[in-house]
Amino acid sequence: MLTAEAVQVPSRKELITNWYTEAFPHVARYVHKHGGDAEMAKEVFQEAIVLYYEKLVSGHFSPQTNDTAYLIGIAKNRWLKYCAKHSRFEGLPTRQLEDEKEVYPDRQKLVQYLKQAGEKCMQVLQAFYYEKESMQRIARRFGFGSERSATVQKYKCLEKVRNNVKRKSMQYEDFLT
Amino acid sequence: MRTSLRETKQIEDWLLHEITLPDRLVMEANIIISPALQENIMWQQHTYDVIQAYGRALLVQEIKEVEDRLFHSSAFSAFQKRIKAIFKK
Repeated sequence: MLTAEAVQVPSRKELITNWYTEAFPHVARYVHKHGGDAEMAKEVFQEAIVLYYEKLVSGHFSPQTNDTAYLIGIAKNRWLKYCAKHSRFEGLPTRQLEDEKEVYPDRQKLVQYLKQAGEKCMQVLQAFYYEKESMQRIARRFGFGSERSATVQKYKCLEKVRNNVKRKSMQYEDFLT
Repeated sequence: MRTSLRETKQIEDWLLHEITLPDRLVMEANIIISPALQENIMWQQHTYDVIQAYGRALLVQEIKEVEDRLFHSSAFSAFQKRIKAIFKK
C-alpha cells in the first residue's frame, strides 16, 4: 500500500509513468469505444491521476486492489459522467472536459502570486497540506533543526501567505473564480 | 511561539477540528467577540484552498511532463504505437 510518506516528489514521476503505461491503454480503448479521441483520453486520465493521488496521500484511504484498477475505474467514471452531461445538450462531446477548470487552476497566476511568500515557504506548506508529509519528514527534508522548529516555521509561512492572500484579495478572487 | 502564531495555530486546530471541547468553546466565544479573529479565520480558510490549488497545479505539471515524455520520447515508442493503434481502429 502506498502512503503519503512513500509517494514523494523524487519518485512521483516514476509512479505516474508506471500508472500511464499500465492503465492508460485501457482508458484509451474505453474512451475510443465511446466516441472520444486521444486528447480526451489524456485529459480524463490526467484527472483520474489527480483524484487518485489526492485520495492516496489523504491518509483516509487503503487501496483494496492495485492502482491500475482504481485509475481505470475513476477514468471510466469521469468519462461516463462527462458523456452523460453532454449528451443531453449536444450530440458529441467537445474538446473541453467539463470540470477542467476545477481540476486545473490557473497555474501561472497562482505561482506568480504565491512566490511572494518565498519558494521555501510554499514548498513547506505544500509538503504539509497537500502531500500530507509528517513534520518529522519535513524537518529532515528542509533541513530544520527539529520537528518543533519545522512546526514553528510552518505557522510563520502560513501566516505570511494568509496576510498576502488578504492583501491581494482582489487578485485572489480573480484567479479563484 | 509568538502570539500571532499561536492564534494561527488555534485557527488551524479549530478549522481542522483538532481541538478539545474546552478549547473549542473558548475559541467560539472569542470568535463572537472578535471581528479581527473572524476575518483571520476566513482568510486562513482561503489560504488552505490556495495551497491545495498550488499543490494540485504542481502535480498536474508533473503529469504533463511525464505524458510529454511518454508520447514523444523514442524510449517509449512501443507505448506510442500501442496507443496509436487504438485510435486508428
